[in-house]
Amino acid sequence: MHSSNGHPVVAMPSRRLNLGPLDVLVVDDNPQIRQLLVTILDALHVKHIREAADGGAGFREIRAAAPDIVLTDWVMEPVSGVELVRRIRRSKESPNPFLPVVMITSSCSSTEVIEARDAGVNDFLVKPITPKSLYERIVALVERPRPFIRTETFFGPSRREDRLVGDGRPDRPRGAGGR
Amino acid sequence: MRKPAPRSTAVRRVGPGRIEEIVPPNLLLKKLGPGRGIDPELLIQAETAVFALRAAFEERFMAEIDGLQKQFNDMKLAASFEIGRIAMPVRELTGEGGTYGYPLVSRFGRSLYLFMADVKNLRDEEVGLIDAHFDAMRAVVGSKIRHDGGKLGRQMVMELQMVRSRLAVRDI
Repeated sequence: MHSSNGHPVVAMPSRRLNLGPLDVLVVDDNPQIRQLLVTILDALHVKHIREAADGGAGFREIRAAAPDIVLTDWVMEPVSGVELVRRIRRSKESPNPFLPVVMITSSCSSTEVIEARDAGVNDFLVKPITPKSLYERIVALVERPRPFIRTETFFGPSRREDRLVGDGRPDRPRGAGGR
Repeated sequence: MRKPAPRSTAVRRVGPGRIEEIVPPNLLLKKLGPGRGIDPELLIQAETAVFALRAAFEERFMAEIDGLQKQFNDMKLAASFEIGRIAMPVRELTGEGGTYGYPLVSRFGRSLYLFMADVKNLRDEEVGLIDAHFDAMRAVVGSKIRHDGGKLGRQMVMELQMVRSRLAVRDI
């Protein structure tokens, strides 16, 4: 394809999301999984990557450093990933109850999904972890965040599928099937 | 360093004060600027970086699966099966298989984990099934049977399925 003056037209790719400024906390008791996640995040040019080996250490890191995103495993001792999410959402010591959290899990059984959703996770990353699946989760957190819901018994991202586009508007109209 | 907690920019009460919908400011978008979407080149870089970890995974996998098999063999000798001691490590280790091009390892590992979670009595056939899972996973990584393993992979899945169906337990 050529322009009117005969020069070839080069399609300029639209500007992609730059993950460089992100500060991400990885919480997992398995050092191999931490290494994998850090390798992927590093390759995606994330500059600040922090690590913690359980939910308790993760919460201390959140209070000290205020990361932008938390990736946490589910099964950890002494403080599990679900308990970490509860502390982030409900503890008076939490610096940011809206902090985006992705739960890493080996299974996607409905019981586990419901428990994690009720604790207030934003999204799931089901093993096996791949660069694509992690990248997609991070982009979704940035571009399509969920609104938060507060009731007497729950505080966390909406458990409905509605997401918001970046500026806070719903990304699909709420018609008859909506709220 | 502590950032102030973001204040909600929009609060909507849905229903008679029962449900509050909060739209927090999108701090991630503010921080990352105007770009959009996945960068295919960056994704290839990340996949290449993970690919570079594959050889280390293969070596570690073989060592750890041998260690788990040895623990199981010790239980057989002692005729005392604390199967829970190896169930979770099996799940953790084999869950990594798909990341490094060995989805069959993840599949067999999940099958073994579910079997160990369900099994009540370990007789010779159940013990044999656990051994068969260990053997299959070792064969997959040892022979570098990647992805679905083609004809050989399908044959391995079928053989394990046959043993499992004889025991009338959850399918793989």
